[in-house]
Amino acid sequence: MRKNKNIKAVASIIITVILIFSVLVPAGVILQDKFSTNKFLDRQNIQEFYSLEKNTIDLLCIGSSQIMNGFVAGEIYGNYGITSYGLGTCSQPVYAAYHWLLEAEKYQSPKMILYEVSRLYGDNSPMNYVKAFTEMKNTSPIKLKALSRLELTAEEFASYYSDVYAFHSRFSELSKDDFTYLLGGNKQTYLGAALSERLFDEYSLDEEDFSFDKGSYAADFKDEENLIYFEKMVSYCKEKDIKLVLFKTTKEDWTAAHHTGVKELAEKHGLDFVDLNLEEAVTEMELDFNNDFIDPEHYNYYGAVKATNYIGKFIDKNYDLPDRREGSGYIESYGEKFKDYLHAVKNIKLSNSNNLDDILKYIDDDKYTIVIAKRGPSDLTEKQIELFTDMGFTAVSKDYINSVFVKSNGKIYENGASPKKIHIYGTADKAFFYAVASGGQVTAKAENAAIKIDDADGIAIAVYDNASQRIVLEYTQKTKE
Amino acid sequence: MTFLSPSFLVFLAASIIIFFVCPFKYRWTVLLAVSVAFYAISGTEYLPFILASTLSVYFTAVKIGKNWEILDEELKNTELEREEKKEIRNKYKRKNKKFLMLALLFNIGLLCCVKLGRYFISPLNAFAELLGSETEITAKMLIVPLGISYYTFSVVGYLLDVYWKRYKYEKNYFRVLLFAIYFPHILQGPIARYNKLGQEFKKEHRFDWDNIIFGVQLMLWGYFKKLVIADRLNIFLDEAFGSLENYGWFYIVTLIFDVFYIYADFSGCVDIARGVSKIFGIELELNFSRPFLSKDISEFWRRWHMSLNGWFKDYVFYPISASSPIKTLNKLLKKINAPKELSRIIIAVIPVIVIWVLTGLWHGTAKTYLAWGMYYAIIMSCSTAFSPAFQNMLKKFKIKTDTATWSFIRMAKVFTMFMGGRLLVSAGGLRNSLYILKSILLTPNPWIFVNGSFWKLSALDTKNMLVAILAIILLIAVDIIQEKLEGKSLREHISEENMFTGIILTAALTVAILIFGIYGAEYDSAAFVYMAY
Repeated sequence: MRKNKNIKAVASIIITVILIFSVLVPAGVILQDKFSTNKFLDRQNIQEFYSLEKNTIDLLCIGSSQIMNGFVAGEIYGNYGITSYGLGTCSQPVYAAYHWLLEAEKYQSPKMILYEVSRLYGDNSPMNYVKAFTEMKNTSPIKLKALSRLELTAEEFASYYSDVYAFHSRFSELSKDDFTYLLGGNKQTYLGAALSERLFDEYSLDEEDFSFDKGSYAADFKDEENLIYFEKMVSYCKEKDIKLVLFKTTKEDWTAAHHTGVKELAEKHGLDFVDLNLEEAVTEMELDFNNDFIDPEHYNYYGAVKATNYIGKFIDKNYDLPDRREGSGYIESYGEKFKDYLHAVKNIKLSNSNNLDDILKYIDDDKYTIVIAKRGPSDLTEKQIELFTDMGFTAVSKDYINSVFVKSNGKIYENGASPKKIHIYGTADKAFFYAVASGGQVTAKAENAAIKIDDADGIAIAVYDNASQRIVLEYTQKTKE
Repeated sequence: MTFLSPSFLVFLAASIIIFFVCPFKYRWTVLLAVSVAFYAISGTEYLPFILASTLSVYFTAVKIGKNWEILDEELKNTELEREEKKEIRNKYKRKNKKFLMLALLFNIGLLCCVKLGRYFISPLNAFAELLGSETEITAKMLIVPLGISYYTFSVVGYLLDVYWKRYKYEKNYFRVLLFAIYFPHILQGPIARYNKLGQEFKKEHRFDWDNIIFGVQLMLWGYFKKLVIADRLNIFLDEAFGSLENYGWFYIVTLIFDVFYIYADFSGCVDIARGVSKIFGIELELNFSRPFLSKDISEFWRRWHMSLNGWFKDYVFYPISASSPIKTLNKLLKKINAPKELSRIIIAVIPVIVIWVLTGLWHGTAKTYLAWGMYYAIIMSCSTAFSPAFQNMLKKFKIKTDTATWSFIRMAKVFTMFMGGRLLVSAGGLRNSLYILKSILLTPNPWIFVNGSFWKLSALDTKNMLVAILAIILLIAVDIIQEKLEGKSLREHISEENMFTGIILTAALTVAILIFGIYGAEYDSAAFVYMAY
C-alpha cells in the first residue's frame, strides 16, 4: 500500500517536472531578448557551433562581434577548402574568449586559432560577461567554472542558466516576431557569420576616419584581466600544439598605438598578427568605406568577405591547413553547412536584384516558395516567358489573366489555390495584396512582405526562403502603357 | 537570505537532504543547526540578541517550573493546615512572579529598546558629547535583529504558559532555542506556541512524499501570492503613494490594491514558511483563514494574523479582563449604580483598547501605527458597544440576515474598514492619509477609468494590470473554494479527487510564477512587509 503510494507520488513529481520544462523551454525561446542585445545572433551562432560534427573544424576563429561581422567561414572553405568556424559572441571579454576556447576544445580539435584582438583593449562591463556566457551549454563545467569566478549574486547566476529567469519580464512586450523565432525562423548566421547587408547610415564613413596614424586615442590595456587571460590562451595553445594567429578587423578608432601594443604582444610570444587597419591591407582588400560597414567597427557582408579573403590568403600562404573540399578529407556535414551558406549568399544576391532576368535565374530553386500575382497584360520578354514556363508557371505568359500563382516544393498552384502553409489575401483583379506565411501561421515578417500591383496592370513576385523562413524578395513590374 | 533568493532554495534542498539522512533522534538538532546557520547568514550580529532572549527565558522557565515542582511536593504534605498551604503557595507565587517580571522586563525591554532605539539617538549623542566623546551614533548603527518581534512573543508566551502552569518547562535549552529560531518561521511568523511547535520537534518525522508534495505546493502558492500579486501591485502602489496629487477616485483603486497587496505579501510569506515546514513534517500554525470572507471586523481579526491576535487574546486580553484593576472597577461601577449596559461596555472595552494600542505598537512605533491601533480600538469598541443595539434594529426592521446579498454587504463593510486602516499606514504619514481621503471624497472622477487617464497614472501597463487582476481573482476564488471545503485544504482535496488535476495545477502555478513573477536581477524584489516587524 505504502509502496504504491510512493510510486504514485514519484510518478506525479516526474510528470509535473516534465510538464513544467516542456512549457518553460519554448517559453524561454519566446521570452529571450532578440532585439536589443544581438543575443539572438549569439544564440544561433553558438547553437550551430554545438551542432557541428565533432572534430571537423581545422580553423577556429574566436573573438567578439567583429567575428560575426568580419569572418566568413564559407569563403575560407570555398576558396581554400579549410573547414573553419567563427565562434564570436558580442563584446566578448578576453576572459570569456579563453573559456570559450576551452569549451570549443571539448567538441573540436582545431589546428589553428584565429583570435580577433579588439577586446584586449576592452573595458569589461558585467553585461559583456552576460552576453559571452549565457549561450554556453548549461551542462558545461567550464561555464560553471567561468561564472563561479565572477562573484555573481544568486539572481545573476540564475540568469545565466535560464532564459525564463533572465527575460520573464519581457512577457508584456512580446510581439509576433518573438514567436517566429520559436519556430526556428529567421536564420541569420552561417558558420558563425552574420552576413548582414546593412549600411552605416548615421554619418558617412570615409577613409580619413580610419586613418591609422591619427594617434588621438590612448592605447592602454585597461583591464589587467585581459592580459592575464590572453597569456593563458597563448599557453593553452602552445600546450595543445595549436597555432595561434592574431588579427584585427578594420576599425575607425584603431590607431598606431593600438597596433604597436598588440604587435609587441605577438612578438613576445612569437605569433603572427594580421592587422587589417594597415594601409597595405586596406588597399589590397579594396575596402569601400561607404558600402562595406554597418558601423565604424563592424563590416557588413561585403566588407567581411573582403577581410576574410585577405586573411584566407595569409593563412594559405603561411600555414598548411588541409583542403577538405573533396577526396578522403571531405566532411559531408560541413559540406552541407557550406551549401546553406551558398544559399544564403544567393538570398543576398536575390534580395538585391531589381532585374527580372536575374531574379528568374535565382528563383528556380525548390528551396524557395514563390508567389506570383499577375493582373492584365504584361510586357514580359520571350526569354522571361520561357524561364517562367521552365519553372512551371505556364499560365503566366497568357495576357489578360488576373490570377495568383504559387510554387511550393516543386508544385504549382494556380487561380488562387495555395498550399496549406500559404495564406493569400484578396484577389488579383480587386485587391492586389498577397502575403506569404509559413508553418500555418501568418508572421509579422510575412505580412510585411505584401506585394502590390496598385491599380496598374503588371506582375508582382514574392519569394519566401523556406530555409531561413523569411521573405527574400518583393518585386513589382508594372506593364508599360 | 530571504525566501525569495535563489540561494534559499539551494539552502533548503541541502537542509532537507541532511535532515532525512540523519537518524530520527538527531533530526531536531539538524533543524537547530540549519536554523542557526540561516539566521547567521542573515547577520551574525543578530545572534547575541536571540541567544540572550532564549537563555533568559529558558533559565527563568526552569527556575519557575522547578519552584512549582517544589511547591507541589510541599503541598503533598497532608499535615499542613490550609492557611499554611496558602502561605507556602503565596511564597512561591511571589518568588516566581519576581523571576517572571525580571525575564519579561528583560525581553520586552530589549524589544522596546530595539524598536524605539532611533528615538534615543539624539539624547544619547548629546550625552556623549557632554562626556567629551567624538563618536556619533547613527540610525545605521542600530541593530534590529531579524524576527525579534516574532521570537520575543513566542518565548514570552512560553514563559507565561510555564508560569501559569499550562504545561511543564523544557529541560533542554537547545529545544527552546530551536523553538525561537526555527528558520521557516523566524522571518515573519507565525508566532508559535511551545506546547504545539515544541511537541512537533519531539515527534519522529519520517520521509513522506505527501509532505514533500503538499509542502512544495503550499510554497508555490506562497510564491505566487508574493511574486505575481504582491510585488506587481507594489510597483503600482510605489508610484501611486510616491507622488500624491489630487487624483480623486484613482485612490480607491490604489487602496483596494493595497489591501490585496498586504494580504498577498503577508499570507504569501506565511504559506512559504508553512510549506517549508511541512516538507520536514512539521506543521506550523495557520495564520490566515480567508479573512476577507469575514462578516464582521471581530471575525476578520480572528482570521487575519491569527497567531498574533491569538497571542494578544491569551496573554493580554484575558489577563487584563481578569486583572484586579478591572475587578475593582467593576465593583466600583456596581457601587455607584452605573447602568448595567454601560458597565458591560466599559469593562469590555478597556482590554480591547489596550490590546489594539499594543498591536499598533507591535507593528511600529511611528504615529501612523499608533493611529492604526486606535482606529481599530475605536471600531472594535463600537462593535462591542453597539452590537446588541444593532441586532435589535435588524430584528425590528425585519432585515433578512441569512441571504447572500446581506453576507456580501457585510464582507464589503469589513473590506472597507480594512481599507481605512491601510490608508493610515500606507500613505507615508497621517497628513498624506488625510490628503488621500479628501481627494477621494471631494474629487469624484469616475471618468478616469474610461477616458484613458487611469493608465497615465498607473505604473502598470495593461498586460501587467491584467495579470494582477486575474491573479487577484484566482486568490479570491481559492479562498471561496477553501471556505466551502470547511477546514480541509484544497491541496488535499485535489490530491484525493484526481492526481492529474494536481499535476497540472502545480505545473501551471510554477510556470505562472516563473513567467509572471516580479523577480530576478532586473528587479530589486521587495522584501516581505511583515519581515520588518
